[in-house]
Amino acid sequence: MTKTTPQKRYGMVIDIDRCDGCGACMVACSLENNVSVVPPEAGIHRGLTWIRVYSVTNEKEYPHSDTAYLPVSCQHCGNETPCVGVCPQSAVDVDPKNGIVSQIPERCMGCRYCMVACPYHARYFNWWDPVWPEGTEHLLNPGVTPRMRGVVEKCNFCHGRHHAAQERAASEGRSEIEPNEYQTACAEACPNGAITFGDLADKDSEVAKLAAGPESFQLLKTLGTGPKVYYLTQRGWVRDMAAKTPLPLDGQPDD
Amino acid sequence: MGFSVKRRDFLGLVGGGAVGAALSPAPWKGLDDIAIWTQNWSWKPRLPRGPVEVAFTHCGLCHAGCGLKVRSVGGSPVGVHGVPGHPLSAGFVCALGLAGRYLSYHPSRIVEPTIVGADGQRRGIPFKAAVRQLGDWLDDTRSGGGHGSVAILDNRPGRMRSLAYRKWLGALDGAHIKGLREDTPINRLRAMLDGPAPELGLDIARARTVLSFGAPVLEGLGSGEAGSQLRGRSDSDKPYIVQIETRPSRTARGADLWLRIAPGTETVLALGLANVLVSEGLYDKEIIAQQALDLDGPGGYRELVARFSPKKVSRITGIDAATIKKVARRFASGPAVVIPGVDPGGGPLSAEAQTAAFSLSLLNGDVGRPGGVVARRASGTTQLPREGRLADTVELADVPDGSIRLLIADGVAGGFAIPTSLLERKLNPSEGRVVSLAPFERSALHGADLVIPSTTPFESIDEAGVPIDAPVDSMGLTVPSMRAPDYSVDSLRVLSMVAKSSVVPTITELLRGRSDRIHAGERGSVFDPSKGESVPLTEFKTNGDLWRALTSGGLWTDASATFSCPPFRLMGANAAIRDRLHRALEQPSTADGWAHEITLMPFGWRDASGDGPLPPVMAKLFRETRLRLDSRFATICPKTAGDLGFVEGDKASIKTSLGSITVEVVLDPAVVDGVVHVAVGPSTEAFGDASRGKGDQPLDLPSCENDACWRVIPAKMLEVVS
Repeated sequence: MTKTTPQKRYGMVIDIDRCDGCGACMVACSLENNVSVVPPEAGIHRGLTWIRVYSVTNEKEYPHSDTAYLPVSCQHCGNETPCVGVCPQSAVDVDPKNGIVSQIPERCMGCRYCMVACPYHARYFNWWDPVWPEGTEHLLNPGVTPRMRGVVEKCNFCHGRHHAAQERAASEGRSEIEPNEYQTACAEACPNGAITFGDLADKDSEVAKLAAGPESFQLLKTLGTGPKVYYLTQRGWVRDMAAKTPLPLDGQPDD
Repeated sequence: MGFSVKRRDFLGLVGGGAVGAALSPAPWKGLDDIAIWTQNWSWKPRLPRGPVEVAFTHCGLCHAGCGLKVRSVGGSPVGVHGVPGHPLSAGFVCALGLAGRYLSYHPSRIVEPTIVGADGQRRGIPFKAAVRQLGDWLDDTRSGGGHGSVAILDNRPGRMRSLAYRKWLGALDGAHIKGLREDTPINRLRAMLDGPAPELGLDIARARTVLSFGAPVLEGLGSGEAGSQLRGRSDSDKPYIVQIETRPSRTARGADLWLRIAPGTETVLALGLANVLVSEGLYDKEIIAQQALDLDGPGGYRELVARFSPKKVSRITGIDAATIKKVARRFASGPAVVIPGVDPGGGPLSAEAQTAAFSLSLLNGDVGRPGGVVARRASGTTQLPREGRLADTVELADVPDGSIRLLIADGVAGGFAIPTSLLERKLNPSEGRVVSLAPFERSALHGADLVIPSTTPFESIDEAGVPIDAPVDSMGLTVPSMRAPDYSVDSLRVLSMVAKSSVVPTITELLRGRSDRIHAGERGSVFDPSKGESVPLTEFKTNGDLWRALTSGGLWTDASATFSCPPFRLMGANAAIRDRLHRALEQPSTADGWAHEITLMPFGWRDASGDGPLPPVMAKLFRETRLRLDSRFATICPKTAGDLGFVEGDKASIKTSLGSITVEVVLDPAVVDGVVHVAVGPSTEAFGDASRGKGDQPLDLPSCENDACWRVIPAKMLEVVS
């Protein structure tokens, strides 16, 4: 009898009240996934950032003014994933075994329909050739291929790390990877422990417990896209902001 | 039946074919191919190849010395991770540490020795010629200079390398000058103690209250791990953090209580808190009765603080009297840590503010008790392998103006910016020369007469720092994970080549010597990063075993020390500081009658290298997200902007009597009315350049004439007409 592998549903919980906007998650992500250094003329709308930390305020006067930092990456939508349906090239793939939404740059032709369709503005277009300062290409992560100009890219929950963990498990005769064997770079790097990553389908996992908690919410939940990235906060105004369509975030990438 | 093709049939065939083709994958494939054909890269990305290795080291980019796990492929470090269980950093690595390896290839890296010629132009020279030139200048200075005419500016004093500097300077009657560090103010506390005091550290982890005067407690103060641990702990388990700061920093926003204080009034608030402690009898009466030397009597501390009633202090600081009383009572309820912060761009608090702040620690009996100020034993650091006189270590502010004829700047990254004007004032006006041993162009050293590039932290072995919040001494090494380029040279090698009367040991000799003395001390434990556990030092049979452990990324930590607080002076021993404390209620005068309409407060971002370059990936990300605005932006509150006629996005000129900078206006309602904040540090343009004109301009504006402070600068803010 063949042993069936239980279906996983990888997801993330981000505690906004712990995030202080240091940007370590963005730096770790960019280094892990060889996100290129675009030229300064890219401005704030045409850069590349698989996870982007937005600064949001409640627009009140001191002492009632408040600021929150909102890290936004691909939400890995689990229901009618918007970017999948609009891609004419089938360049967006949803792994049925774990729910990770991946971009296939070799298939992407750069039409950017997916960027228009994504309500979270979490997809980024390579407007320029990928460039790093001279001599630094040998510091890149050899496990992730740099993407070329003219294609869209986005967070894939550090797919390279997932494969590496699976290989390690297989080499040891295991069919399953342990929860602590696969962490995204952003979760690993967050100095405040604001990001928890894991299998939402495992009810005993920390990420599943946090996602099911009373302080948990999803961005633009009313759209019904079923994001697998959850957020936590005790601040009501942040929840209200996160429900607005479009998200009132400055500096989102151009469509 | 004949077959004929009519015009209509032909057109139908062509039209049908076109429609059919449009519905087929062919045009899409064509579009895709065209897209791919246009994807011609200007370079061929060569990802590293070769054997995979994992090594452990410590980060040398700041004094925190976080433990690192470095993954290398083909000899290139392709990934940096924290080390879980590390006694100091506990798995923490800041953004700068993650990307720090890219600094070795930063565009602002100096790749050859340079000298400023008689025509004022900088040109490259061979290494031997540069060393010969330094030797000639040294001879000139020795023949005509007095005490302190040769000086070394050491950005990370306290290392074995620093001792070698002091020995080298001792033979020249030179001065060893401390650069800015987070723990610089602790020396002010040591100066308040009557008699010799050990090295001191802050025991934040066990404190009940943290009273921070602008220190980045939640942003990576000290070991870096401290802030993350404080955020992660439950409310009942963590210290209550009171942040006393004008700027709405990340720590201010995340603290349990943010006291948004009026600019430059920290001294008044500290004395106001002392007033409550003394008047309500909340101080440690036993300690004060036995050890305080200046509490009572004419001009004593009690008389001083009596004039700082909460009501009066409230009018000056903007903090209401009830809050002052509440904070004082909370402070007195258990062990507390007071941290007079040093800002990476705004520099230190005034000497009297530091003294007033630390007087609270002494009042509360926190010096020498767990959860307060604790002692670290200096193990193996106070002796050099060879005998020799050591030059005294002095603060930059205490160096007489115009006294230095040859200033050699150590190459290590300090992370704290210093105004060029402050350095220039210490130089002899006619004969002062500056030699930089930094690996990068750095703003304060932009005019260095001679530059001899040194190695970056990932390329050379050195000592990692001991963070401010480490309660015990430690020794960890920055083990090289990259090969040092041929054009870089260790600073001690430069000194050994020009030394005429003393022998300068190599850095490896110095570190090995300390390791051997630690081994002989048989105290403390050694952390093995590959196993994530510590073992007692006594398990290391030979000194060679310990050295191998340290050069494999291990960390020795000392056993904790006990320390009884000696007699002390609550106002310090310095008469000038005591005088300034007594005059703290006087309104600050405006220099040179310069009528100012706004208060400029420069600041720096923690872990974004205040005076060094920024890795390109950080520059890019902060540019795109505007999470850390650089010196091109000025943050003011909407009311101030309205009063001055500005709206968000306007261009403005901030002027003082010394110059001006042009900035873009950014509005933030949390900024104090009448204050403008401008960051000092590497520009996020041009891949994070920190060289001249790239982020250092705000520090051209303060005069630093009174007490080497540049936190509060009277200025004007004018519209820029394009």
